[in-house]
Amino acid sequence: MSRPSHFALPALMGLLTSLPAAALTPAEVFALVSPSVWRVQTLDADRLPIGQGSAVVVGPGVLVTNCHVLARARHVQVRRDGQGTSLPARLMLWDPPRDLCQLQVDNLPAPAVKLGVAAQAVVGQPAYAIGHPRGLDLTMSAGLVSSFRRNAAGQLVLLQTSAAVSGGSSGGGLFNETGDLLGLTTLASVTGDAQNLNFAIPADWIADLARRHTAARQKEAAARGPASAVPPVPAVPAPATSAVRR
Amino acid sequence: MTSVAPPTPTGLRTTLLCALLPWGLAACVQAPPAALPAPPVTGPSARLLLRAAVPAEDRFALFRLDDAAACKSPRLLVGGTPKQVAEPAVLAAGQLVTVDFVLIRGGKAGLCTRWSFTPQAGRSYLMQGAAVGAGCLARLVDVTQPDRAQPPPDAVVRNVAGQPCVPMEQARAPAGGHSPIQGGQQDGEAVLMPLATPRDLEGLIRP
Repeated sequence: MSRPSHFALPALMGLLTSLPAAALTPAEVFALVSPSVWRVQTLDADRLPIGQGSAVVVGPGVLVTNCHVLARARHVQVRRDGQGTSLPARLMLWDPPRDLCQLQVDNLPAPAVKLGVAAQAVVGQPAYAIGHPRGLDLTMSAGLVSSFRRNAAGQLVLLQTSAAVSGGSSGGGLFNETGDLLGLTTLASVTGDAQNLNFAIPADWIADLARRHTAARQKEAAARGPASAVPPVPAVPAPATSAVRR
Repeated sequence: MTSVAPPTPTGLRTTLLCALLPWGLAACVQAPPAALPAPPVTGPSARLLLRAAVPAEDRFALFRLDDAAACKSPRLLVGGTPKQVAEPAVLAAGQLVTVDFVLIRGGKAGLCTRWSFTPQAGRSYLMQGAAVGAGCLARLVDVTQPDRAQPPPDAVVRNVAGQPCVPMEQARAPAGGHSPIQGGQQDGEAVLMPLATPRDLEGLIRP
């Protein structure tokens, strides 16, 4: 009978450390994270609008969004409801195969969200999408983490959620009940017989962005010739670092 | 019971079938006027199955182009009818292949979709055609695991927007052909769209 007791304390401690932070109400989640969700406007060479989407602040002056939001743009700017002028943004890192791009905005008055770990999410837990669907600034919708979509190798590719998203939500945040960023809302099934089938790329990919960007650029440079070297770029702050809020 | 023979190369005549495919591609390309049977494959191989949903009076066929890059020199792989299941075709593995799904209607043949991909040894692929109005379309999927059917990772459509043979470097996987929900892998890491490139971002990328 001694064996179970040997494991009792570590098991209890493990249970305690794995307990989630206190769940917030949807209103509290919105109040916490909405200052970090910005509207993205793309412009052509004549500064005429092309499209719009959403982006989430993940570091000082650093936002992430879906690359498809930025497609064919020549200029990008970000804005928040009630703000008089838009702020110009620069594309710094890009990873089209993951549909993940990073923008830099000088003097961005916004805190960073805390990056969650998508692998720790469970089906059935609350999920909140916040973005700018159809140009409707800072729209929040509630749902569940509905499922996890994996590739043929079993690797996580998308979180499926029943939280409503629409055009313009792309690049917005999918948050859990403590306000941690689970993913970026990226896809929605829009066929006639589909309802509440929406998808977010995992937030875990944000920490990989700098590394993958550099690797891809180095591969391109190698293909072009030895003269075009690509310097490494610093990574986006990982979860639980001092650069993120909470 | 009527037995309908698969189309023979000499029975194929050139015509033009046009259809707007669901993924926005126009299938308006002349089919091969005549073709010899493809020689047997030696070495590592893959299977290519052929199925089609077409009217009872239509027939269909699968051609392999000897010059996969330039889309030239068609060889008849196999033909079928709505009533007769076509035998699987055998493709050489590990090398680019270009295959045509052709619909034969009223004795006239028209190219529906021209796919290029690299078959992998031991895998099974399915060319699934369909007649849609006056036109037709065909999708290509890897059905080695039937419950996880998915497009081959490098599969591209070559006949696009009236061009019969878009160069490989310009050809793209059709939207909707590869569902991003299935994801993929790149250098061992999970990705959403393995074939996505920064091309659409060039206007924002500063040197």
